[in-house]
Amino acid sequence: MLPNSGAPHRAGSRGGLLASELALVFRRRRTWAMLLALGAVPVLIALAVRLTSGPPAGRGPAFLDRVAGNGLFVALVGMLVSIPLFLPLTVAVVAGDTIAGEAGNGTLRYLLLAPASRARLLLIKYAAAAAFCVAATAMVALCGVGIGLLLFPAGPVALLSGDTIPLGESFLRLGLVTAYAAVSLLGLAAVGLFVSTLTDVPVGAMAATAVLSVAAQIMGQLPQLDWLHPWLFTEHWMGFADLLRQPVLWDSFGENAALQAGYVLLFGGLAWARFATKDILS
Amino acid sequence: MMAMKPVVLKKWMPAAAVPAIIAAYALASPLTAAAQDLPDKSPEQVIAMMASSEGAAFSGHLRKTANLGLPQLPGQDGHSQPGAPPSDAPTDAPPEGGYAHLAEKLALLSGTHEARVFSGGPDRMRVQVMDGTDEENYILNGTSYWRYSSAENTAVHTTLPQPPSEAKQEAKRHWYGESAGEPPTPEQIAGKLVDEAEPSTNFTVEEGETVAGRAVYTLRLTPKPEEQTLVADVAIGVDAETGVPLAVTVGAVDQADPALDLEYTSFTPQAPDAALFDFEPPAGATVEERPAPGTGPEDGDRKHGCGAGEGANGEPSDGTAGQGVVMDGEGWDTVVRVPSECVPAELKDPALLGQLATEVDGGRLLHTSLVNVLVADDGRVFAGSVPTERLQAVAGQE
Repeated sequence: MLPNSGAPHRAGSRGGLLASELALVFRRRRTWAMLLALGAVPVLIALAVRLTSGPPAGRGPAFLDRVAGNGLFVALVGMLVSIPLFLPLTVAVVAGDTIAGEAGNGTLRYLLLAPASRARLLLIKYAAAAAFCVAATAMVALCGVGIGLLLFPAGPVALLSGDTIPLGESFLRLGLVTAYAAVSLLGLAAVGLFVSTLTDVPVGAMAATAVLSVAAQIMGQLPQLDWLHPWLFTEHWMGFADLLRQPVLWDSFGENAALQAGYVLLFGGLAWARFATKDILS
Repeated sequence: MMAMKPVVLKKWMPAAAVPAIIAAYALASPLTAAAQDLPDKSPEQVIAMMASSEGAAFSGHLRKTANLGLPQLPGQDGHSQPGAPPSDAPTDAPPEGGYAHLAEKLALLSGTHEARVFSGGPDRMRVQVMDGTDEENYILNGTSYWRYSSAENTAVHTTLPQPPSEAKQEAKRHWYGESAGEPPTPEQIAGKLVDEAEPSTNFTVEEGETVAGRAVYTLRLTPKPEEQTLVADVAIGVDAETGVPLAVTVGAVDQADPALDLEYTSFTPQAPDAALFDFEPPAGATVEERPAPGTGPEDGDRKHGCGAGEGANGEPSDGTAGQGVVMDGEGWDTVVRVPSECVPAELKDPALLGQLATEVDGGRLLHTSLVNVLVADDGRVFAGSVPTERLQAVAGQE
């Protein structure tokens, strides 16, 4: 067992450690490949709508029929399409890699030789994964807005309630939707962090996390498991539509944030318990 | 190594604490809703409270749960999944044989639905029925009535001949038996309602329940034992402060769960933003102007002789029903008789009836826990919250 002391460290070591962790995640070619793939989702949608006559009202994913009239909807459709699979998949890769990746590389014990407690290392690893959640959702939104403004007219946005809001407020709502999606992924990132402490094989942790996110969504579709639904971290993933009502319905934002916070605390605690007592052999 | 065990256990404490805290909170929170001691009220007083709350300003979140035991139609999705792509049924006819329209109506009847209700005083109302990434809006502002569907991006506008509150006052006067002058007071209305329903119904008032965290009087209507009905009881939760009904629960005789449960999950007795009632359909929406029901020539023509009389229970027939639709009996075992020519064609579709209805003596029966509908062999339709035998008896009278 390595000592798990909370001894004082040189000033700024937390910032330094976090910065180096962020650099590790965001300098990876893999991370950028995933972000580019996410950015391609709204671009493909926009091109498909531009090159065809567009779907009739009420067909395809929600908001798709509005794209041709207002480019901002590209970002919304992109988000709607990415949330069930693409976003969780990329988050699973990053979160599953956190500890298992270091263990797999044999670098974990060197990390622990640095004067930082295991809890702090875990926290920093999680912070980097959370930063990726924000970057991934922002990528979908920004690429969606960019391609949407390029290919389609922009203007006041009609909300689900039928009310029209000016362009400035539309960007605000879009920012809220992006924040909602990022918050939605935090629970999954915590699950990934925990799974990552269980194994030294990063691919295994990534796959297990991705499978869990799909499994949770499938369970959410089964009416026989009604009692379980409020406890699934995927339960409110699609609830961002409530931010597009007039007035904004904050309930699902709050419920989602509370649920994700619960997952972060629970799986963060499990990860810490597992990691703090783990014998690091590699 | 001896000290390892407790250390290991301690490490898992934070992880164990989270579920423990959540469980404690979940167990404790129902207890915190303190039961308020309300002054005793008679059923008449509670009904009068309700009647005088008409047009109160509030906003609330309404949840409807129906457990009617409705049969499933092909292509109907039990309850809609949040985030599921919007139903692609509505616009063009699906191959399954045109039930989509009916299936949608049935889907609205069954399962759980949520809506936000905004009331800005008399004749200013907005209801938003939420369904995943869709929303259906009903906006009333004076004599202007809008309906907007986000799924189809269509808006329908109707200009009413007079504000509904005026029409309601007139109807009340008419019902109370005064052709002119002051409309009846809430107390008079309550008195007459109770008098009329007394022979068939027991009224009780209970206290101590809360709806949306607010103390309510629970007005319970129970059919008298000799009434032949499927309704076990109707409970109305009336807000003790404002008199607004906050919950309606209808119990069915042969099931434990309420057949129908309408309940506010949150309620604020304050006027919402007035701008909510000024509706302009968004650019790009299909806008249709529709005449108010009963005024358009087309409308009147189509429904000639088949109008009125929709309430299957409670509301006694007041003589305004067309000759076509006839109420049989009074009180809870009222049966609505619809002649063949007034029955919507889609209800007579034999293929559909095969899906929904079961064969009984004298016709086909569509059974739900609250309402039975008998489609007789000659095409007439009988409906009521009554057992099958009563429908068959009415059908066999002629």
